[in-house]
Amino acid sequence: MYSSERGLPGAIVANRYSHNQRQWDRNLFVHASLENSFFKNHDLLANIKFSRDYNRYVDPEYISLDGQLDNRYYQSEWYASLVNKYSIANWWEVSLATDFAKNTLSANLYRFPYPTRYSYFAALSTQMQWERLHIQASMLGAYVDEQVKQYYKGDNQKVFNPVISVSVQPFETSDFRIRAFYKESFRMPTFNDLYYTFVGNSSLRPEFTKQYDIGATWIHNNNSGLLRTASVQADVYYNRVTDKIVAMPSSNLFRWTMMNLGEVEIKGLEINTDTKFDLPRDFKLNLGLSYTYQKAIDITPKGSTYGDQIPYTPNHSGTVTSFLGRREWDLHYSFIYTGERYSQKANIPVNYVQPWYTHDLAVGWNGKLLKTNVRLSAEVNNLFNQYYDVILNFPMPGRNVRFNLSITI
Amino acid sequence: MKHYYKLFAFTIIFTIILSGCRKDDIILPPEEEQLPPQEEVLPPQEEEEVPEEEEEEEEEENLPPQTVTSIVGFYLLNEGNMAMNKASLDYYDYETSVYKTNVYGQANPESTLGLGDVGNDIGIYGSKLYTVINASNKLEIMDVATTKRLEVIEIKNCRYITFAEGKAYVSAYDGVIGLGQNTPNGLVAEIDTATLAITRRVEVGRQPEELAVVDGKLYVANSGGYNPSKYERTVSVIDLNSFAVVSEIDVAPNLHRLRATESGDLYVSSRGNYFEIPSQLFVVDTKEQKVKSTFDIPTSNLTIVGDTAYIVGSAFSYETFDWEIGYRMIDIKNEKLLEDSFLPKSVSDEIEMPYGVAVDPFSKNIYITDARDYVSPGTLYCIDKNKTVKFKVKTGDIPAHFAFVYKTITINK
Repeated sequence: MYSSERGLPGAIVANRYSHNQRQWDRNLFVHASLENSFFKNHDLLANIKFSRDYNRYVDPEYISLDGQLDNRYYQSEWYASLVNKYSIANWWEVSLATDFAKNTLSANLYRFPYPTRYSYFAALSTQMQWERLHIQASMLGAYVDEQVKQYYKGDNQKVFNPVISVSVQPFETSDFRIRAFYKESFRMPTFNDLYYTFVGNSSLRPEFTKQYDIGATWIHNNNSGLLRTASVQADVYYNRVTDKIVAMPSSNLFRWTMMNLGEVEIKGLEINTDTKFDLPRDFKLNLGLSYTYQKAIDITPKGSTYGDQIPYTPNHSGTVTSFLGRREWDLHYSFIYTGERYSQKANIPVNYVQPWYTHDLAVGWNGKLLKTNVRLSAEVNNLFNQYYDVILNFPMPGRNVRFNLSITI
Repeated sequence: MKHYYKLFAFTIIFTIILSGCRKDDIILPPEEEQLPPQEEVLPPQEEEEVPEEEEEEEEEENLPPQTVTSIVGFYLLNEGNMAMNKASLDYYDYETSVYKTNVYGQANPESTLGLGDVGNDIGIYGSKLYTVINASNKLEIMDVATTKRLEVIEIKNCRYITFAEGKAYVSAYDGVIGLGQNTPNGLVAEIDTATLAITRRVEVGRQPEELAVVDGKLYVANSGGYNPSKYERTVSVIDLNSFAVVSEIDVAPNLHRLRATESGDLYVSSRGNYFEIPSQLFVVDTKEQKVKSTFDIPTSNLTIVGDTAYIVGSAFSYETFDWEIGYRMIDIKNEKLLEDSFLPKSVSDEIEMPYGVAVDPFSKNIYITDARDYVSPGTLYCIDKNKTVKFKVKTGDIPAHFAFVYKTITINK
């Protein structure tokens, strides 16, 4: 159970620097699961879940005959899944997973379509594991049936998505492995994407993705010495997304807010490193570095932005995280960098968004006060008080300080 | 221990290096494009009233000087998508044939956050250029010649503008101050174009849209767009002397466009309800104060020049889930729908989402804009009266509203 009320940020635009829209959320869910084995080498896992979400949006500046705008949405989901697993040999396992979900949405809107979505999934997968070679393959079939009480509805969808992944240990040492996968996936437009507009939906198509990835991992553990753990993971990938679903703010209540972006090609490189040191005098040090290079370009045929980087996707981004600890004291420092981006499809100067990077620092103390475990910490976020926008015209906080006290009983 | 200091030093240096790579914010320079020249069009001369007997005399006589009015270019207001703060002004100069985007930013580098969010309407009156910036809750008034800001007038949720007798009239969704925060009704504000101050306000229907003045009366199209179950159906009539609503004309649900003809008729469009009631166009007789003709054509935008109304129809229906798009003409003298499209097929096939339309009253060149997907730079097409494409040029986002710049000179002084 979760409940919240908050003020919503609005775009900071010329002559308008504050907003007073508010939102309420309430979520509730119950969940049960069962595990059993009916015969040798067989495993059965059953899950059932029910959830209900309530969402309310109030805009005091939008005054109609019924007073200020007050939209309420109720969403519920029934979800059941059944997984059967059977080991043919100690290196070979097959499984069949079947899932069913029923989602409904209602709202206090005029001419609301009251959609119900029935989703059926079946996935047959197999896993083969030898000492130096792991292979996983699966085929997912999905059928999504969308029903509405009135007016327009999203299309029914039938999809098959294969996945295959391989991991190889080429040398004697188990520290180094090479991995590769091919994966097809799809994303249905959610009820939020389709029906959370003021009047009507946005006739979105599902998003399809094909991913190719090849990478290597090197993980080394030492039982003694200064350097205890060191790991490097590197991947290169090529993704192809068709009908990518993106949210775009809209100028008119009767217009789209969500759209399909046509065809997108993403070439990327991702490197993660992590090191752990045991220093003298009980000092411990962790240092992590990550870096992503991504070229995500719009390759929609005949599109006006062919060859342009897609919105809000930087070419370069990275993080540095570090941790220094000694007994009950710890010190964290992190740095996040997001490179230059464009706020809209066209890569032109008006759409340019500045890179941003923040330095965050935190110090903490763990100990016992009156026989209870207590943690005290202080953080300074955005240490150098840089102005930045993650989304254009939605400025992010400048330097801010936070104190935490947590007690474990 | 030494090792650890080295690492720490490395981290600090690394972050300092990364901290260096951020460009300074710059005022965006306008982009210019050279277009083919405009043909010289001789504007119709203003007829001088000459007494008949004088004309019959054969001897030479000096008559008063002639004034010649011509168009020297136009401003195009790009709406920019909501929350993007990307309203922008383009200027097309007939004399140099140069098309410039972002002229506001260059002329007003000191204005905080630029022209603003959603440029909803534009108009020129005298030497001043008025832009209605909807989501920025302001009227931005500039000098026509320099595009420099003269004044900013605060009007919440302002929509459209029109002018008459030294006054500007602006429609706005926001209720009149004093009626309480909870009134759903909109207002029209009157602004003195000399002092640039709001002089009077009047409450009209819900979510008022376009407006026009005919014979001392102001007509405002009410939409009621915030209540899809109960759209407004009326045009409010305001007497400009008393500045009070004197009557209402029943037309159709969800009104939007309202344009006056020279003979005093109003062309009023209804957006319909997007379901079983389609978008339509109506002709209102202002003397009889009622609808005298109905055209069953979806109307999203129109312009009336001479005896022709040029109508862009892009109507959306939730029943078919599709857009119906058309480029029609009406002979307003005979109130007759013409069969032809005003665009050549090559252009109508290319346009994704027709948006703004304007016709040069002298050359009869047609200017039409394509808002494409609303989130990319749009396109402006110029088509001459023989339906040949003169040029097409890239604009700002959602190119929408035109204002021709006139020049009047007196010759033979």
